[in-house]
Amino acid sequence: MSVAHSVSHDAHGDAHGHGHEQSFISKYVFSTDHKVIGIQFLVTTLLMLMVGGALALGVRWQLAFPWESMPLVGRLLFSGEGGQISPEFYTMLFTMHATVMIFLVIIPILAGAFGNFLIPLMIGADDMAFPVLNMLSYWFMWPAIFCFFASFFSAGNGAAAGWTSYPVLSALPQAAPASGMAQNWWLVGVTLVGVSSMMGSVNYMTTIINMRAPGMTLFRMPLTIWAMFITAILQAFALPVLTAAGFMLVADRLLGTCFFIPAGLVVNNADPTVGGGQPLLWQHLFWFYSHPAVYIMLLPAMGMVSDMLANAARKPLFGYKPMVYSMAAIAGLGFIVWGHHMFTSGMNPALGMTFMTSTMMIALPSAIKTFNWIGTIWGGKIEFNTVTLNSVAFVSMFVVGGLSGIFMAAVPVDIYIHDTYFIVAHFHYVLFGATLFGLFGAIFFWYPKMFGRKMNEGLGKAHFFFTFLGANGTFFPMHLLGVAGMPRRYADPYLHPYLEHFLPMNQFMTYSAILMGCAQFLLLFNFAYSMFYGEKVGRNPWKANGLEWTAPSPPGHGNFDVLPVCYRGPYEYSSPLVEEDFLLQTEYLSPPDKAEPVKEPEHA
Amino acid sequence: MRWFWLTFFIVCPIAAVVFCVIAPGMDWWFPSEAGSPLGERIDSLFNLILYIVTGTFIGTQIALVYVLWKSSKKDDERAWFSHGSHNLEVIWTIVPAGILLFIALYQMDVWAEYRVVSKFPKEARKAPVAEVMARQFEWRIRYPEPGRILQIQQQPTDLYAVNELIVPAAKPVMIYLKTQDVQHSFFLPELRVKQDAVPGQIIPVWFEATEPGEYVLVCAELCGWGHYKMGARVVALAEEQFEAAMEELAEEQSDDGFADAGDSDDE
Amino acid sequence: MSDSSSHSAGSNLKMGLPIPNSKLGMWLFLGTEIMFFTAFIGSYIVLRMGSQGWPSDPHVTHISVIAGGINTFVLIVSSYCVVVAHDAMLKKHFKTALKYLWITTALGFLFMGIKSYEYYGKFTHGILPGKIAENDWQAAQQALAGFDDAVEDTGYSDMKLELAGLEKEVAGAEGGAKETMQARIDELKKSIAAIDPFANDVKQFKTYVKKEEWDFAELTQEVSTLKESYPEKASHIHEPHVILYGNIFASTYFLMTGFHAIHVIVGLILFGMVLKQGNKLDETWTDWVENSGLYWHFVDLVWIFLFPLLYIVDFA
Ligand code: HEA
Ligand code: HEA
Ligand code: CUA
Ligand SMILES: [Cu+2]
Repeated sequence: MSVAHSVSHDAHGDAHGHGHEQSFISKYVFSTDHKVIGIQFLVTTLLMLMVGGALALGVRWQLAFPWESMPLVGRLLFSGEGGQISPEFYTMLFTMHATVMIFLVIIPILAGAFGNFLIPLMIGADDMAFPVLNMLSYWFMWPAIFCFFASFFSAGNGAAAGWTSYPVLSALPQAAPASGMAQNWWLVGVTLVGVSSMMGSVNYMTTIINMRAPGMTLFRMPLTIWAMFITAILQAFALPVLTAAGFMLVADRLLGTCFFIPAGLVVNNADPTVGGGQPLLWQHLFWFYSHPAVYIMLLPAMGMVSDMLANAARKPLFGYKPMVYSMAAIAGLGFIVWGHHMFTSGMNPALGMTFMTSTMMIALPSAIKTFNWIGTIWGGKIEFNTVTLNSVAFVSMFVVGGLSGIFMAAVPVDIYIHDTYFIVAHFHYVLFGATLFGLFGAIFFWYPKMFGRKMNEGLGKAHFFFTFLGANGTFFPMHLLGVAGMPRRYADPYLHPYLEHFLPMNQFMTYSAILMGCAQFLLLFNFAYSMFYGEKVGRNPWKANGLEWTAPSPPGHGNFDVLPVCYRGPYEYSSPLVEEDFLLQTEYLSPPDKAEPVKEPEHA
Repeated sequence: MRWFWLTFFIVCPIAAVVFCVIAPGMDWWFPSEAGSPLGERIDSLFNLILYIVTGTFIGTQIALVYVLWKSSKKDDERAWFSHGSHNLEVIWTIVPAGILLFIALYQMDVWAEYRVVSKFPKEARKAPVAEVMARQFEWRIRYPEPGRILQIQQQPTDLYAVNELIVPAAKPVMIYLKTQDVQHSFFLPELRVKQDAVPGQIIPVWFEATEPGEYVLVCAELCGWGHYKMGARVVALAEEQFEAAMEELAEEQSDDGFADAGDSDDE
Repeated sequence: MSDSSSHSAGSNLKMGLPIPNSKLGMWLFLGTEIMFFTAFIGSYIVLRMGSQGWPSDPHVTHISVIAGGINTFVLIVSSYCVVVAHDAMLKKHFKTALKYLWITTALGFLFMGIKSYEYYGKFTHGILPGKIAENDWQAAQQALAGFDDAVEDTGYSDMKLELAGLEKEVAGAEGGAKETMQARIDELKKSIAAIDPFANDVKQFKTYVKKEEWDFAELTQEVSTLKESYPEKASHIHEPHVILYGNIFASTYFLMTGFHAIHVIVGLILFGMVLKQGNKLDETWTDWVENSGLYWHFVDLVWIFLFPLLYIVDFA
């Protein structure tokens, strides 16, 4: 808990009003303060990133050196097989890799860590609407983490049906003998993270709707807040469907129901199944959630990058309203494109055409956003610091990942590339390339607000450099593997002669992944080191405009010294009205700078 | 430092493009020329998207580096105070929208021909060559006896094989795809065919191998630990050879000296 | 929910909607709940439309439109009572509010009671997901399993084991020990002999079922003869019956009504918290009553969708 500890040290002096002493536990462990919860989420998810990455390295090891025993950790983990990865274990590795990365890293770091930390600060509230619920949403992560780990370690077996868990493989215990109880643990874990996100999203929506500071109209909200708001809506309305589907699948496994199990299957020589269910129903329900979920994993990063780029370029955001509308469009369209994951599943071909058209259309708002980001930098005054570099990398990598999405959105092309490494390339570009680079930038950008110190620039740049090279070295060749028809989820693709000659390329990718993995230590080190030895900074180290920069760094309990009042949007950089090149949202100018008059709030 | 990062951001996309350009020469591209007429059309659609997307990629990366270059050399000048441009927004909404709609509409035909049963080639639809049943972790093939039509129900005269599907070349053929246990996917990389086998469903799939020869058949949907090894082959034979091969199979299986190559306890 | 009110206190200064956070939160939460039940209802429709058939004869499914109808009425009345209770809270008539909340709660329990009665009817007829035979062979297997269990219930094979053990030992034993052993052996022999005919008939039935071909009517006959011959041992065994598509029917029925019932219980707990206040009830609970009332209306509304879908509509 050393993280939260250092917050408090500085926070103490600034704390005001709420003078009553709190015990250690209620202050740092079961804290209801959104900042502490945010930092708890951040630290937890960064650790989980290492776990997920370690699992990924396991996957990469097998792909580069199939059936060779793993150095160092191999004998420790599976001494039974002499340190070799068995095909079952490979299946579990990528299943758990994806599960950890998606459910325990990306979603909680975006909404949980940054959503929590930033929302009240950026809208000028003293805390979330429901602080206790907020605390619970963090603590529900732990049972979920426990379930996933129980799943992975239950007697050396793990959930092995992919992160998509398609039935019948996941519904009949005899179909994947190794997965036994593990699949149940996995499903319970998914339900629990669902509960956690659900509490978060109701909280965020209420806070954003109802607790904005005076003058903070909807169209003066920073894009980060818009993004968090839209994400929360997506989560609130998509997630219950996954939860419902999860209950149905658990019931199929444990209670004898047959929602996803048709009659007459002979699995592993057992008696034919009785039932009347439909396996495709799961896919519809799952993707109804999981497609919106991929935007849940992207929108907050988009919002934060917009804020960071405007700040870096010392320029107003290009096209604020189009940016907001395009995010809303992404969310809206996000609900009607789920079928693009099922083009080859045998659903009605007419649906295939509908889903193709809607999927193509969802690229449009993304295009608008991309061009506006470029427009934001255009004519700016930029300096290449870590935040800039990561934000630019976000845009650049998002374009790559998004454009590969176009291939897959085209149904006939998807017939060929579906379930090949082309897909794997696509989603690592958007998930790792876009979201994680955005997040790295955000960590550097808001770190001073969290801890009152800046992170080290040199280390930050080195981390960026190696991560960028490593990521592209790992994920770019996957496009070619996909075009060559290499199916995903293969423990040993080289068994098939047409893929034999890709072994060297896979080894190159694995080396790149190791490079990228090592680079993450720079981040962790920088994160921990700067907490104690980083350069101390004041309230507004980046000369930014948002409300959060008027609070002390780190902000005390209750966030602001005085109730902030907001007079303008967050992007008035280089405004001709003032000397400096930034203009705080709270700064009152007379005469008012906007055509629309700002009412002095009647202070009570 | 400024030049370092500018170079960095321009070299990486260039490397990516170069990588793609040399890929076909290095045999890092499609496993072979498309072996079927529909496959050729899929390839050409792929290439069309590839050109559009490469153009967009190069365009956006150059624009990105250009604006970075321009805005990083300002010393004491202030940044341009602008909230955006309505005209630009309209342009960059309409142009991509047009391109994307074009891509979507342009794809419909091929998809319809591939998947809409009433658009399947007639001769293929009339006489399905075989039933392909996937199971953990092999492909079981059931042919009708030469001269008969394949029935959905198993017939005593049916012929069986495992992991080898024989079809006539140079004409469209249709199979019934099903699975005995979990979900699998019937994937012929060289012919650009992929279709999931869904438990509880019988899915008709058609394809055409232009040239006689052997083609890879792999499984493209996670189906358990042995997913990666569920390989088999499709052998396309010239019409007469195909008939001969079928006769031979029938001979083999009616011969008491042999155990069924396929599965006998299914009957 | 309670800590929200303090934060919304200064809301005249804040931007936002003119309603307390707790109420806004409840509305948003109900939005997520709507999606949750939409998933179930959607799945039900997909499964039912996609199925070749669906058991709809009430004698087979033991679905009682009357019971469901009464329950609909019960919930609607209870929803009305919550409204009255909240109104009373606003007017600070806490006694009246309590009275109406008691009625609401009682009606909630009545709903659960009727629901249990319906569930009980299904349990006793073996209408449970995964337990329903959909063809003759499965029916036969089930009947057989029932008889086997009935034999086991008498302790038949345990006694046989014990007997065999004792018989081995008795030869080597001496004196008093031998005598008690002998007594036990006689006792066991007697009990076993009493069960023997039944066990033998079941064994015969097993060979009958294993036969390649049999006729369902004949099977039913066999089962009922067996039941009649040993009324005290086998009367609880069901006549073999086949419900085609019964499992998917039972799965969806229990899924939807089950999750609805869980929601009813949660609602009852919410009201219970208020009732616990008794005479101490005061206006700090007004928001609570309003919000749990909102929730209760939602629960009611879900039932209004479930009732026709499960009990009445014929998709065919
Ligand atoms: C953050 C996550 C994220 C994001 C943002 C996206 C964005 C998109 N995705 Fe992706 N997707 C995933 C995560 C994501 N995806 C994951 C995890 C999977 C796999 C799941 C699994 O099976 O395990 C997947 C799978 C997936 C499939 C299924 C493939 C298959 O299994 O066969 C498809 C198919 O249509 C698809 C399409 C798209 C499209 C069209 C976009 C668009 O939103 C992209 C839009 C962006 C751009 C297009 C770039 C910027 C635009 C311009 C520069 C303008 C000009 C462009 C043109 C004119 C073309 N995705
Ligand atoms: C946010 C999501 C996310 C992220 C960040 C990543 C990150 C990575 N992924 Fe992930 N991946 C998925 C989501 C993600 N992945 C999903 C959804 C799937 C699909 C699964 C499925 O098919 O069901 C998948 C599948 C997948 C596959 C395909 C497996 C297959 O189909 O057979 C591969 C193969 O190379 C891969 C590799 C990697 C690598 C090398 C990284 C790297 O970027 C990781 C870099 C980070 C590190 C390396 C961490 C560094 C830490 C250490 C080095 C510490 C060492 C450990 C300790 C001391 C404890 N991933
Ligand atoms: Cu069969 Cu994968
Ligand atoms: Cu998607």
